[in-house]
Amino acid sequence: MAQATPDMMMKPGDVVIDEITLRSYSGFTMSVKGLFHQFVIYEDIFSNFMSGYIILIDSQNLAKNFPIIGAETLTISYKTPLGTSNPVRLVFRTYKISVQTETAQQVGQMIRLEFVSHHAIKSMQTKVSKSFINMPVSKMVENIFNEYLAIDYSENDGAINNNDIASKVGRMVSNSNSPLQASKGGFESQVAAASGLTKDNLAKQEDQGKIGLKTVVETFDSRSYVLPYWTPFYAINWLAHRARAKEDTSLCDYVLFQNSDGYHFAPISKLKTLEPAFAYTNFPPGFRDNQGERMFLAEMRNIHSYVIENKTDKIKEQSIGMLASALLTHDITTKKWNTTHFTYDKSFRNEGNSVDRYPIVPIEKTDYSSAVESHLRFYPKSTFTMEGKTEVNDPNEIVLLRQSLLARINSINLIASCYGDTNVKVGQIIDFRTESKESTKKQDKFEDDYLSGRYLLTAIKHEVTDREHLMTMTLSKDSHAEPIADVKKSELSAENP
Amino acid sequence: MANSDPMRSDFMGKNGFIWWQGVVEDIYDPLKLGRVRVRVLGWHTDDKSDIPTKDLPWAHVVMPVNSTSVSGKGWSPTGLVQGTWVIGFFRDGQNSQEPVVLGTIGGINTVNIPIPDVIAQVGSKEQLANWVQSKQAEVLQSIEKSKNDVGIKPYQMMKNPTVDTIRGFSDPEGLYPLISRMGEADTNRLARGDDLDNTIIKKKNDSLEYCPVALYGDWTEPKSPYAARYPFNHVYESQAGHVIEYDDTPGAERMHFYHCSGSFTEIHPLGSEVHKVVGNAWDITLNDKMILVKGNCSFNANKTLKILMGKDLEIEVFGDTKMLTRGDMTLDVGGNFLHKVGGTYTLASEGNMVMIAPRIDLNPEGENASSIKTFLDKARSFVNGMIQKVSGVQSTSEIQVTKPTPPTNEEVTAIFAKVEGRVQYRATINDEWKPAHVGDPLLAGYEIRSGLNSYAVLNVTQGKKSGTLTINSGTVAKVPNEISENSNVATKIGVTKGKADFKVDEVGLSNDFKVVPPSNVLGVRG
Repeated sequence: MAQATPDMMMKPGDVVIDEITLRSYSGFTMSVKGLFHQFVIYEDIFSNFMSGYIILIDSQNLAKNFPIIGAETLTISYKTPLGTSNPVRLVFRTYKISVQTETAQQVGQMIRLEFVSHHAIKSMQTKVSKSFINMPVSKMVENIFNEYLAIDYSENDGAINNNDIASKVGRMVSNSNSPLQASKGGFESQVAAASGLTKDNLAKQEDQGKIGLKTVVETFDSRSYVLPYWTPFYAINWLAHRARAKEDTSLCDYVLFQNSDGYHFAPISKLKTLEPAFAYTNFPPGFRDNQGERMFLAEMRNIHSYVIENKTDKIKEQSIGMLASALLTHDITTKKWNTTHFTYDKSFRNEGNSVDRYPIVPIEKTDYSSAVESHLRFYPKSTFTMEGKTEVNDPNEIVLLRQSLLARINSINLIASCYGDTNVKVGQIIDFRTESKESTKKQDKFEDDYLSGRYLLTAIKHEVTDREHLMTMTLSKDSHAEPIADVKKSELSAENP
Repeated sequence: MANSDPMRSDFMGKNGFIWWQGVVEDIYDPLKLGRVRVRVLGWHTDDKSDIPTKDLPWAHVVMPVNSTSVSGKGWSPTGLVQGTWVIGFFRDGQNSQEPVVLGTIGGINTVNIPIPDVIAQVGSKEQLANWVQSKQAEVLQSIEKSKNDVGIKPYQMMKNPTVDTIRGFSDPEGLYPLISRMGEADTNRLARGDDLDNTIIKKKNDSLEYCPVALYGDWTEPKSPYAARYPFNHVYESQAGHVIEYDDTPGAERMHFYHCSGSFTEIHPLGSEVHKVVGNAWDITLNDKMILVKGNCSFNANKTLKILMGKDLEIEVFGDTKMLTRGDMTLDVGGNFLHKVGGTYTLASEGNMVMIAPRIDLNPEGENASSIKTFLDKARSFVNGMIQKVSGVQSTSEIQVTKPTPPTNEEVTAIFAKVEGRVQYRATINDEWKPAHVGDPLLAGYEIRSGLNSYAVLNVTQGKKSGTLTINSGTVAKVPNEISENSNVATKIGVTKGKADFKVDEVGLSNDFKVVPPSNVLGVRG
């Protein structure tokens, strides 16, 4: 079988591995590209950092001689051999040998080495005990990230240098090999534009040899908090609960996540509105063009199989406050208490905070909307508590909306397997098309109205061997492309065999 | 978050009780709600460049249930000082933005010289050791010097050089803990009974001695009977040095309210009270005021005493009156001046005696004598009325100053001082029996009778002599015609039936109306 070259794909799933190096705690660096059997990398929008593991076939007893003690720096650089792809270069920190066993041939040993982002380790090693007074939450997050989490790779192993970053910034704007990605650019550039984080700012950070946040969507209003010995990631997640976007205060489902581009602090609802980055289909295999040649790209963008998990779980949706909820607050200073009700139907917008256009449930026609007591919260409030704050410090009014927004993005989770592509990243919008599962009599209904449509890519598992790159994507959505059917009479029983 | 159940993780009160300990660093709440800024140990860094004191959230303080916290009622929530260790909780649980102070924690303040600052100043270990030694000497000197800071106001207090005001978890003003209290328990010395020479007890015992009283004698301000034992003395001391003690020490119970100036009121174990004002004093009563002193009363003003009566001045002395004026005396009467004397009237002067009047009558007859007699009658009526009031008659309408006829100088008169059950009296055998009431006046020969389980006590006077007549139950007796001072001579009292007892007061008329126990024998006891 012909090997893929850096710019030419020989078959779908081809991958070009530039570098896999281990750097020991003492600074000794060696390439393990020839030793690796497989590596797996996880990206998850609900996780602050990327993680994974690598399986090495070792006949030199690296565990003893390198040695591998769970404090190594692992650099992986690989790419999908498409013309415009740049290598994805990731630096991880190993932390555990989860499996060490003899190989079947008994010529060496198999070592499974678990790794996480460098920032995950750094976050565990430091705590934030600091006050932030009269500052937007986004500024606090930037401050924490830069002060407590930024890693100076120029002093590390040089795995990432300024040129790499610069190329990434360039790719943020120009990278597109999908017709659906169009001219609006990837989500990073759109989000970055919304956040006010310019390339100049990024370059400035990079000049200092530090990796800061790639994307920060600016938040509304100034807050004052004293963070009490929390890990930086915990602190940022805590701040995310209190953040709402400056451009639209209903965008309040902020998360901090890492994909192969870097770290992003953005509201999921903002990501939902981006243009699709890629289109994936789920049609029978056998992609050939008119000349009978294989259509590699179409084959790459085809979902091999998928499964839908936990769809329309109304018990869960009610209990976590997705559909309706109530918030009781008590202000200890003014002695006032207040009750706020939240309902899904009043907060649903077919543009602005939803992946698609129509709600997943016609809630106004059910008893869910009025069931505000299905999810009760009780928060304390305190006016005039912080220096310079004359109003309540916490924006309690966004609590219920945020809870609902975060819950509803998992309304439909589609777990899809396909060929790997290093250009696909968590946080992108995927346009997914699948055929209808209805009977053959309805040939005109080629696509499944409910399952097809826009999805937010919330998690990816990259499985890479020296020959192939496969992905398992978690595609999530909170709405449908078509309205929910309103069947007045039973047509189903008459037509179904 | 740690707890995934929203009913527990996002519901105040169900989200776990996150309690903490910390140090008060700011007490100057702009809202004056008693809130304080607390640096919480384990949650807030001691590095003030990361968390300045002014960035700490204001923590509300919990008040005890015997103090309502509404509309200014109850105790004010003030009293914490900077540098106090407190314990509290976060209303918002793990979010830790809304601290509440539950109470304070005392301990023993140890000398903690801020070594980090020292390191910057000195180089070698030897130099460091020398520096620490000199610093300790300085601290000890400060402690010694500040021992007499009892009652010193905060702004006068000496700063504690051992307090590291640069870093957190200490009083930014460097006052607390007090330098004079380093190395000892935070519990008040008066409560501990320790080092009393450096407490207000020492100061209080610098008391006044030999304060003269009128005519002769003197008195001395009592020492504080402080004999507190831990843990019976419950002491409150404010920043300025005001002290309140509720001392439950067995056998030495006291209450003590002390002002840092030295004024105080102290109630001693047997109920004696010392009230001392080191400055001026004002005692203002906008309505009536009753003062009763059952024992002796001495009033001593080193300077001028002025008494101004808006209306009348009424003074009744049951014994003798002695007035010694070492200077001149002026008695200026705008109206008539009656000087009535029951016995001999002696006017003596070592100088000249001058009497000036348009007319001077000696033993007058006719119209002048009549007018003088009328005036005397009115005076007697008034005196009798006052006696009735003193004896407890409730309504002034019951006072019959014209009946019976006021006694002559040597006539025996009696007043019911106590009436229990059915007691009646009459003037003569021809009169009807009338129910007796306290304050009813009787004359010699009046008959008194008492029913079953009834008795009466009468105060009987004749001139300067007085006695107590007790009428027991089922007795018919008469008011005596004469009071004898000689216990060997029977007083002229007729007892027709039953039992009565008569006691002659040795000096004057006693105001102690206690009932003499009944006796089988009618007798006179002096």
